[in-house]
Amino acid sequence: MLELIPTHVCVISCLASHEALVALHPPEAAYLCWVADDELMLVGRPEASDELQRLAGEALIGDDDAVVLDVSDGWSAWTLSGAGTDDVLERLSELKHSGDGYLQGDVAHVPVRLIAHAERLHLLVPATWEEHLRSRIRAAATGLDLRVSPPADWSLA
Amino acid sequence: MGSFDFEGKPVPFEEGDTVASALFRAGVRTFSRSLKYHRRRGLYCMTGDCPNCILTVDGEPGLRSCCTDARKGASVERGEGWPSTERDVLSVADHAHRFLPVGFYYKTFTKPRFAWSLAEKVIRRTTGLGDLDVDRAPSIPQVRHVAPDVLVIGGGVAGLAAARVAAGDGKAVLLCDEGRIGEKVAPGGSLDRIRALEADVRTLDSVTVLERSTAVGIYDGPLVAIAREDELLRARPERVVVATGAVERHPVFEGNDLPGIWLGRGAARLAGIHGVVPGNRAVVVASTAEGLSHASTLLDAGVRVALVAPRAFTERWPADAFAIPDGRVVRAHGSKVISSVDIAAGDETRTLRCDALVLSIGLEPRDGLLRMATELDAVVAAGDAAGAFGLDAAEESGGRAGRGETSAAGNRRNETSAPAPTAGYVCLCEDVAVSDLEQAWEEGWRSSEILKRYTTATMGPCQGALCGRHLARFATERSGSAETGARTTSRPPARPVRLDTLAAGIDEIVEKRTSLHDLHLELGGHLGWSGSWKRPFSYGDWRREYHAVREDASVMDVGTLGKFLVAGRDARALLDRVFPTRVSDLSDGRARYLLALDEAGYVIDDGIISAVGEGRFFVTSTSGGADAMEAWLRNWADRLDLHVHLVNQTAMLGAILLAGPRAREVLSGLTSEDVSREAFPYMAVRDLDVVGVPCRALRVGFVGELGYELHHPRRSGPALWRALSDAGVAVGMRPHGLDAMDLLRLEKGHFFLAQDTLPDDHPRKLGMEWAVDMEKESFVGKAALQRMAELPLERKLVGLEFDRTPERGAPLHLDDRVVGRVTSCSRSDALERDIGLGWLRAVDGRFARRLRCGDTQAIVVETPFYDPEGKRLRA
Repeated sequence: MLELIPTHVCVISCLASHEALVALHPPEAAYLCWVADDELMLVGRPEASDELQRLAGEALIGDDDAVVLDVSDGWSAWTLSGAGTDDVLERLSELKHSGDGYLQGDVAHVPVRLIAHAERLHLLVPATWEEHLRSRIRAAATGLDLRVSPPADWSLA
Repeated sequence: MGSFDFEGKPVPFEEGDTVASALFRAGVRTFSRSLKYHRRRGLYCMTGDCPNCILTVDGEPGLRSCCTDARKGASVERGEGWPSTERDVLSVADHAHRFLPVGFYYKTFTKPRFAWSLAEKVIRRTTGLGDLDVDRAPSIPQVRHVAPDVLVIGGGVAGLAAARVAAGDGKAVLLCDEGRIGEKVAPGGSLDRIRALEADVRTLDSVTVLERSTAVGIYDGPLVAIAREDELLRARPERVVVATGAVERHPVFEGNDLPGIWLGRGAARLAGIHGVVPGNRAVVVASTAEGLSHASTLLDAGVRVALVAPRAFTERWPADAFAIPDGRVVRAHGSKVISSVDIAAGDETRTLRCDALVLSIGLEPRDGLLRMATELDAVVAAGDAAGAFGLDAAEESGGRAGRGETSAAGNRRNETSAPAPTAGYVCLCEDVAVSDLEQAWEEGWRSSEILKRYTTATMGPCQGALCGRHLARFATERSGSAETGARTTSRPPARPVRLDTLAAGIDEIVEKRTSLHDLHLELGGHLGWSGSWKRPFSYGDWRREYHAVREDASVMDVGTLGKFLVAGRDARALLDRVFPTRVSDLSDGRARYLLALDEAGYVIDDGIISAVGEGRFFVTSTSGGADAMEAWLRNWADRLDLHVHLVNQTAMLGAILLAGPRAREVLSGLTSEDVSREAFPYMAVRDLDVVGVPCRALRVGFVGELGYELHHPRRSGPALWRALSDAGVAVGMRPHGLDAMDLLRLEKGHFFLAQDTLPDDHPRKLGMEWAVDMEKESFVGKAALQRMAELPLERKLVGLEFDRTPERGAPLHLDDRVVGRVTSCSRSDALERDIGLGWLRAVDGRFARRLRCGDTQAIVVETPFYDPEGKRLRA
């Protein structure tokens, strides 16, 4: 069965020189996404915001210009899992993932950051498009026995 | 098996029947009427290439009945003809060629002038391929994005061979065919080869076979659009093999469009697959071995066959069957159906009686799709589509294409050198005869492309599959130039495609919402589109909302504004360099209005820039300009090689405007910070805690009153709004929407970008020179502004007062001349006057002051209309 889970996350944006950013190693429960050469995004459980900001700040201490921001409010997250996950993505986007990893691009005509991990897809969309993406996922799941689960916290398990 | 309804009568069908074969078996011979002359048309190609069998099935017009499965309970009807296709009064047009020459709509019914409008109505009513039910709701299918290594278009010998070989090389292959594999091929050697290859291919896990899937276009990429019943595939393969087979050459001679005339494969399919003979007494003209085999198929089916073929073939024909060696067709005769055909052989012409004429005079690549991709190296042809005719050649060709050994240079093949036709219908779809081409040529339309446009040949359902080469040959022979007679451009769709299929995956507007969306609905807000945002226009009575702003206090959701944090060591330098506003001396806690100009000096956006400490800046833009502003700033940072960090905070921050003479009273009750005029003056920025919500507050004045723009974490929006609203009850606060804001800003003379402005507006035209610091060393657009400053102003945005509020967009007249246009207007309650903004053009170097606007008078006045000294917003 295909499952769609509204997911609570914290999102920390780290902007610094590439050399400084490569020194940043997230804790196990967080996921590190390279958005650009000079921008990383850390995704973790909601309560991990302070810790992730602290870790990022410490790692980037050598870069005077570094910016570490909690941008959680700007993102809505959805997790897709189960049979038909890839079918839904095929109906919404040209993005293709082969195994685990991070992708960013157009999903349902909005910019999405996509984390594929342990046979789940985590889709992060700017919060202004939360309802749009939700409705498009549901439409794309036509015929796929979709269940919308209660909201849950971010997990890489 | 069952029956379907055909124009009120049941028609039985057998297993495997198409609508066409069932109807033919039931005795139907006229399937359609031609476009212009309403000539009878019968089954012809049976491969989905010609227009003759197009019918309406279950209310859907434009379906080729030879490729449409017969279905129990379906409703089938023909589209053309009045009162019926069978007894069509409009066929009188076939006797009125003189009044309906090629291009007649440029010549006939033009005098008197009203004649054409009458004639056009009649012509529209009497032509076309059926009626579209415009009340039927579209069922828009899903879109699916696929990316195989190899896409094979066509499930014939070459296509299946290509798929097999590519899969063997480890490629992921998608094979699509517009029908079912092999369904259009009569029993025999070809079908046997297809079945053998198909059996192999279907065992391969890496090959996906999609039947009833029509590739309708090849685009740059390559991107291939594949239309299916319930979805549209957008395929982006690494490589495309076009194995779309061949069409039979369409013979052109006098009478060539009579019902009862068949292409060889069509007749063979009808007899061999559906068990229905095309006639009892057939003349078969066969120039190829395949044609000979079709003749044998008909003979075996019990048809009396007279063979017309090269002597080498006729010598192999049964001795007791009639044959004419080395003959050619001169003319076909008949009224409702063919009754005889004139065959010339040597000096002799013989008339043979027949009820079917079957023509198999050669194959031509079905290359409409391929010719869309002549610039794409990743798209190659195979099999018949590449001119590799014959089963062995097709299989070998497919194998090489599947292996990637075929070059795309082969796609640009020279056309055949067969002679141009001299009489008969060249274009069956558009009723264009050779005589029409000759007339057009005489009139001066002298190339294949221009002949196409003037005569409409190749522009019908077949898209030139049957007639394109004839048109090209005609133009080549007449002009003596291969370039003048080149094949016309092939464009998607290669096959008819439903409009709702084309709409698959399209989002007309991608809706954006603020965090207060549900709250607005709760409050009875009337939401509507503002760009791509859903915003409240009012909450029931916009005039009351307006008065709340002017007299008490009000809140408005301005979370749609573009918002950016600009940080990094070169943040100040970048902003000072790109904007015409001076930023170099902007101290922390202060804000300035900014215009954004392009390099031509034209206004592209406006907003506020605030210095927020630590070398960081907070920039706002218009709601619709956020994405463009981000791209613009990033672009300039790169170009100037400046080190900045830009964070688009549009989504993560909500914003609430608290405005009105009593706004301070409301805010001060919700924060412990000093928000007095002295501590928090106009155009200052402060970080405030408002009922526990951290806010970046800007003192701004877009609506002309004391105002605070509270930028806050998005998710805190509802709580903040409720707190403000609760606190505002005591002062009569109510929310206001876009309708109220429209009048509020108009009274201050503030323009709306793109409503009051045009793309080539520079600050002087808008009266915004005060927002430009020309003393700055440089900014984007400065050089252009310097040049334009030396030129007289030809047009400007002005304030207007009217006797009576006109319509927005109404022209402004000076005497009889239109010299401008009203861009915004309304009755101002506060001023008790009718005011507006509008464009005014200079006449003889001067701008008029008194104008006429419809039946009302307008005077140009200074702006702002309301509180011109700005005392209220600086309160």
